[in-house]
Amino acid sequence: MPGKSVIRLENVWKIYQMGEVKVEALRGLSFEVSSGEFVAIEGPSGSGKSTAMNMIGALDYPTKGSVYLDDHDISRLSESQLAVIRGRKIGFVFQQFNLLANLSALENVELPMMFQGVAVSARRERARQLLVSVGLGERLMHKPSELSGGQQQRVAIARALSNDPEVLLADEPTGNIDSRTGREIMKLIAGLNRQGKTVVMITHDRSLAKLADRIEHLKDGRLA
Amino acid sequence: MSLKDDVVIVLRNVSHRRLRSWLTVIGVVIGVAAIIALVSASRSLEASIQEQFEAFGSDKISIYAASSGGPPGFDANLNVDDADAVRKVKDYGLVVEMLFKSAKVEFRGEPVNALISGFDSGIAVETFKEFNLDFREGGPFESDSNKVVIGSRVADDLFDSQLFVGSKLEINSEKFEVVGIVESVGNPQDDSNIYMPLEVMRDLFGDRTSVSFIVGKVKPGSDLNKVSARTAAELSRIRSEESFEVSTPEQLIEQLSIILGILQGVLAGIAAISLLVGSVGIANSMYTSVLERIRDIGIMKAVGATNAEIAMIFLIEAGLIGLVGGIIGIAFGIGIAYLIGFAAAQAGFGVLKIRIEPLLILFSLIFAVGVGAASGYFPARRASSLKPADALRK
Ligand SMILES: Nc1ncnc2c1ncn2[C@@H]1O[C@H](COP(=O)(O)OP(=O)(O)O)[C@@H](O)[C@H]1O
Ligand SMILES: [Mg+2]
Repeated sequence: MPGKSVIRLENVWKIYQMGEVKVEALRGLSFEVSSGEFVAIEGPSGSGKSTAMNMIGALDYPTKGSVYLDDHDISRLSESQLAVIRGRKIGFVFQQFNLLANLSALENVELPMMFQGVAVSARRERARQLLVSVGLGERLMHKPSELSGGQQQRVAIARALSNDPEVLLADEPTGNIDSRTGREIMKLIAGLNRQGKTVVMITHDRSLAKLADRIEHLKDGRLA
Repeated sequence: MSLKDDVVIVLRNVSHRRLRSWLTVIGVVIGVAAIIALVSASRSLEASIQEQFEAFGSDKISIYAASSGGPPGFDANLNVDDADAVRKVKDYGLVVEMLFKSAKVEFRGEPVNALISGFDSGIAVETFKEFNLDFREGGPFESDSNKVVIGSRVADDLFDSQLFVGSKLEINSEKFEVVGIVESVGNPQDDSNIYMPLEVMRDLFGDRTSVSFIVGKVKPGSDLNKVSARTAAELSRIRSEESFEVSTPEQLIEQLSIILGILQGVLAGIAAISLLVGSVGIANSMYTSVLERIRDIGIMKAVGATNAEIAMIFLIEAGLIGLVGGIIGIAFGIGIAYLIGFAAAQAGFGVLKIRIEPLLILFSLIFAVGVGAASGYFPARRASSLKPADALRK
């Protein structure tokens, strides 16, 4: 039973102006993700995967075309409206983990809840539970520099889940960790999908993409 | 995001860049300390001078020869006829004519130069009282004999050995006996005075006519300005208008206030410049802080921070640097102000009582936080307007 549409891109273009040169990173990309799906976007380096993730995740505006989240066009919203959407509806997992170095694992997971105004006691407890659920119950007070790559990515996953977003957006989540740990991270993400979370994962690794329900191939800024 | 959360994030960040944060704070500390110390010292000086005048009395009018450049009284261009003219004005309850001269004073074979002040022995008791000269030992001379009253510095510091009531001095080779020692009035010049009966002084210096300075104490209820005008009119009959000055305490305070105002302006300017330098330091530190944290800004935006929340974090960081710098600066400034007071007292200017105005502290603190926030404003705006996708690429 296919769920409702969560993400829909319609003829999305992204053109970067580099001085005299125009780089067409996305050239009329269209695709849809339904609730509960696990979609992998696969493609070679430079094919526009990260740019696509920026569009889906409301991190940037498309040059042309529309991006729908829950059937609302978000491509023309203000920056502060987008911030709210990012905070509530989307959970990011990046290749470079992107944790704040000065904050502990617990505080990093609390951060998205801070921006949503969740009270200290509630968010601390939730952050602790999330870290326990990703297997880091013993590392709450560690700074990112005191954690291995795999552990940092687990913290990032816990952070991405903290506001219970509709979509988990992962951009090459195993790109910076060794393959054995990478498989564990993938298992974690696949498990989250089985529990109902909609997942969009970007990767250039075909073997990882196979874990998804559906694979979309990106080439030169559009689906192949 | 609550203010408390902002502060937590800011604290984590500034403690991460501890050394640089402290260096920035020091810039503010210097500026605020300079403001507190310089403004307090000059305001205290003004208040102290005001107090001295009030102690001297708001009921006195001074008459001296129009200055030819030196301090009032030293030209000795007045004479006994002028004193008589002043006495004709009926509004005075007491008129004291004074003569100042410098003389060679010897004690136990040690010669020094000192200032001698003479006034009528018949009104010596009132005169010492009106000038707020309290005796710590002995009392005033009461007849025209070779007796002197000395200032505290003459007794304690001027000679190698200590002087007491009964000590014998030689002034211009004549013998004098110390009958009284007055307490310090707080300024070294007055504390170095030697007072003697005017008649004796005139004989000693062979000067029967000169008068350096005349002070009139008006009767209660008189209008100082009117009395001053009447005095000037009386004097104008026997000498030219330009050759003398009649001044009320208000006028003297006004003149001093102008000078003090200029001094305060200069000092405040110095303080403001140092604070400006401090604010440039904050702005610079905030810009590098923004540059260093472009990626962090991207991360915070990705997890839901709005532009306003990012700007607030940086503004709070800048304001906090201002606040900490302000608090430390105030503490240092108060310390320095008291040190200035202490140094002045050591130099004999005990009149300079340092007082710190609570309003100045409050103002400095608000100013420091304001300067911090203002210096952080543009860096904060820059930080907040970064697009998350661009910030994350850094
Ligand atoms: N901010 C940018 N400015 C200019 N060019 C960009 C920018 N972001 C991406 N590009 C270019 O767009 C193309 C797609 O990049 P990207 O989406 O990062 O690809 P991928 O993630 O698949 O490797 C590349 O040619 C890249 O150089
Ligand atoms: Mg990429």
